[in-house]
Amino acid sequence: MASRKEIYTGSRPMVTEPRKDDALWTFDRFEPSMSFGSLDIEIDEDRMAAWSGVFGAEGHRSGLLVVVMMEAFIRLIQPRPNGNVHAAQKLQFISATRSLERHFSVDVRCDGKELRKERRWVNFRADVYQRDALLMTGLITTIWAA
Amino acid sequence: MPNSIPEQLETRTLRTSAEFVRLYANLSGDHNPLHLDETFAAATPFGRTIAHGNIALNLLLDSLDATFGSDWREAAEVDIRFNAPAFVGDELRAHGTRQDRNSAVYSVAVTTDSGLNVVTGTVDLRSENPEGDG
Repeated sequence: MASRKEIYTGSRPMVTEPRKDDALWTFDRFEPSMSFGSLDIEIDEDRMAAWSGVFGAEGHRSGLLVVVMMEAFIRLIQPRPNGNVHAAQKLQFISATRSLERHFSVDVRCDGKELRKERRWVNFRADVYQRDALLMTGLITTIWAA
Repeated sequence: MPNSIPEQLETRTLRTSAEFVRLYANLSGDHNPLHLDETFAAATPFGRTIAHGNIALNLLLDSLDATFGSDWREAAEVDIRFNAPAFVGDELRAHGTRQDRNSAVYSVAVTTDSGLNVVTGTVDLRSENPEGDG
């Protein structure tokens, strides 16, 4: 039987290595569909303890997917200007058939940009995988600072 | 989709603080000075440090987890806007109401103790993920 991921997305798209230049990521540099690469993230015991310190030890921890999405979004797009604003967020959850483990991979790319009312709107897409199964897609809307 | 679709989501609350925001910054890697540096934040239109928007979003997901366990993640769409900043020190309350008895869509919000809806949006528990294209 095909996995939900296969039904929904087909194979995982090829991603590039993280870009390694030191130039500041400004509005002008973003291009729709531009990939920022993929990041493997391990939730080790220290991070689980940090999570419990923030949100408590109880619960089903769906929010961990948001945390790893944001970590990849932050780390793969560097350096970035100070003062970016997170304006909106859409999360599409694809599968709850696997319990959340400790290792995730996140692909990040630009989903479009628009200059509107003198504000630099930039949209990003982050796909969160566990063992190559897509768990969640996050669409991040930002007002970029520079 | 979960077997039971109650009228209300389980409410979840938390009190933000400078320490809480610092812990969340370390957890997520988001060290934007808007959240952490009073001097930087004072020079922005916000005037003071604000909590990460995703703290409110995570509280909302905690509310969904408390209501449905992990079943709701089978095929769901959470669509929210960060309408206003939650300032460091605000108490946040995540809550949601089913839109009608034939629907699996909730109107959701995260509200500060002063009554400001810093997050509003919807949670659709029957989402078919129409935007997915891989």
